[in-house]
Amino acid sequence: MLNADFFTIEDEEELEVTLEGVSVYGVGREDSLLYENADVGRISLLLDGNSEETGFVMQVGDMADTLTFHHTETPFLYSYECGYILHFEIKDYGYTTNFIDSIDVVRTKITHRYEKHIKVYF
Amino acid sequence: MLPVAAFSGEGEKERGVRIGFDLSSAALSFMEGEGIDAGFTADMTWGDDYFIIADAGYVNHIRTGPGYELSQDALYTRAGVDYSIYSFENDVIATGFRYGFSTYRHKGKNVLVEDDYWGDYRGIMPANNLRSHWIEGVFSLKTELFADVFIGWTLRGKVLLQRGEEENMEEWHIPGYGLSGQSSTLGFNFYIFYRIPF
Repeated sequence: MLNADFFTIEDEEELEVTLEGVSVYGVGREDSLLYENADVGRISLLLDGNSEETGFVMQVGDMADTLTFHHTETPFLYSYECGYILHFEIKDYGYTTNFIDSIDVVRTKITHRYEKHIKVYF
Repeated sequence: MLPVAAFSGEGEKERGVRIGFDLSSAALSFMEGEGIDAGFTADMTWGDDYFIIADAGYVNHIRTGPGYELSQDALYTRAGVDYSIYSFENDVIATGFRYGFSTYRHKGKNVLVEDDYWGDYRGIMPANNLRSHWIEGVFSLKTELFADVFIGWTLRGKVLLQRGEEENMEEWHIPGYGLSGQSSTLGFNFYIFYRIPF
C-alpha cells in the first residue's frame, strides 16, 4: 500500500494534520470509495498492478484534487503459504492543487512493510 | 555392526573410496511430490584417522501454492574433512567440518495476485540466479552392512555465511542448507554407500 501522510507548514515548521470529511476513490472507480467522509491524517492507497498509471481523487467538502502516480510493479512471494503480493516503484507523479499545496515523495519503492511514502501538504 | 565395548584401532580396516546416495533427501522430495533432490557423497581415507569428504547434489523442485507455481533449479556442493573418534574394523564414528556452496535459480509462473478493487494481477516472477555459502560442523556414523556396502547418517550444524539477495521473495529454501532466513540451522542425512577398495 502507498502510504500518504498529511502535513501543513506553519512558521516554517512541518506539522502533522488531520483532515475532516475526506473521501477518496480511484480514477475510474467512482462507484467504490476507499475512504468515505473520514477524519484522517494518513491514507493508504493500493496501486493498480495491471496499469502503469494509477490515479486517485481526494475530496474534502466541495473541493477535489487528483493524484496520479506512474509506476512499475514486481510480484513478490510473501511466503510459500500466502503466495504473492505486488511491490511497486514510483517513477513519476502529478497532482492538482485545488486544496493540496504540494506533494513530496520520500520513498519511491512500495513494499509490504509499513513505511511512509509520500507527504501531502495543505 | 558396532560392538558394545568401545575401543578403536582393533580389527583390520580396509581402505577405499566410498560413494554414497542421500536416501533421506530423495525420500522427502518423493513424499512431498515437489520434484527431484538427488544428493551424493564420496569419502576417502586419509591417513589412519581422517577422511576427505565431498558432497554434491542436484535439486529441481516445482512448488505450487495459492496463485502461483514456483520452480527452483539448483546445484550444491560440500567439502571437508572428518576425524574418526571411534572405529572398529570398517565401522566409524566421526566428527568434522564442511564448507558448503549452492547456486540456484527461482522462477515464478502463473502468478496471481487477487485485487478486488482494480482487478486481479496475472504475471510471472522473473528468474533470478543466486549463490549462497555456509560452513558446517558434523557428527556422523557409518557402519558396514555387508561386503563393501555401508549405511550411515550425518548430523549437521550449519552457519550461513552469505545467502544471496533475492529481491522477489521474503524467504526461500537454499539447497543444501535450509531456509534463507535462518542464520544457523540443523540438518540430518541418511546415506547408503558402496566402497571401492584400493
